Amino acid sequence: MRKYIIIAITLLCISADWVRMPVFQDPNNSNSKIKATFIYNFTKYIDWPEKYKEGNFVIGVLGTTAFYNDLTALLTKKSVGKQTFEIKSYTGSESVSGVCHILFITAENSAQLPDVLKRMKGKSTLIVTEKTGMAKQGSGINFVVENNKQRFELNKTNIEKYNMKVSSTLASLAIAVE
Amino acid sequence: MKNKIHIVFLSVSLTICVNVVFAQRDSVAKAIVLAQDQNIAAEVRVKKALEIIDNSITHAQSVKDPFAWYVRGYIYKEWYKTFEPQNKKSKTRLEAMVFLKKALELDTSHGKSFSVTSNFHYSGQIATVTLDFDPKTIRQILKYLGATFYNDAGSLLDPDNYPAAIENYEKFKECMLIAEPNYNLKAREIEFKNALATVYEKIFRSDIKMQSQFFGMTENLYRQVLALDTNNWGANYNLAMLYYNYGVDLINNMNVTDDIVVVDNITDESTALFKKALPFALKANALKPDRREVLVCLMGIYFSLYEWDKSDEYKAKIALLDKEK
Repeated sequence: MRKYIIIAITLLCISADWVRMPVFQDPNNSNSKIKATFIYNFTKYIDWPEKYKEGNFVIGVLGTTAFYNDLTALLTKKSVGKQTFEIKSYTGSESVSGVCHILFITAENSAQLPDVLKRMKGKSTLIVTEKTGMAKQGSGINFVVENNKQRFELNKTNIEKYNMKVSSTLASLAIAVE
Repeated sequence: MKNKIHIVFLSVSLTICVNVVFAQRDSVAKAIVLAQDQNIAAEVRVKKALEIIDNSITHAQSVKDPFAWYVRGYIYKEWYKTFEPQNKKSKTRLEAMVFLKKALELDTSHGKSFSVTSNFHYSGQIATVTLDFDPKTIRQILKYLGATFYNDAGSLLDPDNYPAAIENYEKFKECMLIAEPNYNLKAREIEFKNALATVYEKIFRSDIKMQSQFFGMTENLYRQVLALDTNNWGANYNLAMLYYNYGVDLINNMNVTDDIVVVDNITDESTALFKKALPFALKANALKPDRREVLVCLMGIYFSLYEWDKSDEYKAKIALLDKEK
């Protein structure tokens, strides 16, 4: 028997289809969350008069906006001191009544600021807006974007004239507006 | 005439030594003939061949014989193929690689093939067998093993088994570089690193606080890929998504009752991440303008950077793309 041996090799193809695509995170809720967290912190760093420290802590949202729902979801069952948060939605300035610790006016409803200021005269309501120039026109705090980051302007005069006190920590993080 | 005498003299002086080597070579040849005998069931012939070659290799002459290591490597490869093709951590496959490597190291023929003729008793007859020692064949077997390592590396790419995937990938590289020292690994490096990065990212995203080290590891791999190929679409897109998603995660994981100083730091960090994501997303978009996922990513980045107009621009592009489809 004579044999010639050839070692046989099976060729194997390299196969690869391994890359998985990442899942996109929806950014919509994150903007709301930043604002809601800031608003929550305003309740810690601003001191309201004694008579405002009873009952629910009312935050009003002027204008139909998804932010109302986000704020409700984020602050329900939370409290400031002994006060439980109560989130209210107002369709127009005329519907704002009773005690309101913080009133958030959406950008679309900014034109109602002068009317709101008239109606809230003498009340310790912190007016929060989100449109350029509003802090100079009467709001206490105005959300702005600076260098692609959410920040806020603070007009101390507009807050303190309604008997609220601003802590230095809050003031140091804000863009001061006179 | 002078040359002829010289050859005879050499032959005589080496007779004893060569005979011993040949005796060992006969058992080596027997092992390979057995391993390839199609008349015997694969499980039986491979087992027997392995016993013979393992015994043979213990002899001092065989230890230095490239042919013996070649055959041993081949038989171990056959064992792996017969008994352990699904074993992604096969020790036998590793040994096959080591033996073949040793055969090449011991080979003094400088890459040239040579033949060996052996005589031995086989199936009741005297078998005369001519065997080729061909380094090219060894390299082919190594490439075969390399391919199995690579494919197994791919199938092990998941959060539980990725260390074994890395080990297999390293063995793939070793096999290929032994088989072909100038083998261009670039395409495989890109492929594997991209894939491994997605595994690291998955681990990171499963718990961004506890697994935070995987963020840097993922980032590092994508950057390694981009160092090899700046136009790699997958690495550009995935790196953009890594930064972008982490930025969104930081905000989403923020507690609404977190202190304002903490919130300010988080927004600083997330803004920096969105800014880091942007050039890679733009690059991915330039490379493949019609990829919807990149348009979505850009829409999200600009939205998160509060550049509403640009975000809306990409939103419109997505709508147009959807309409066209």
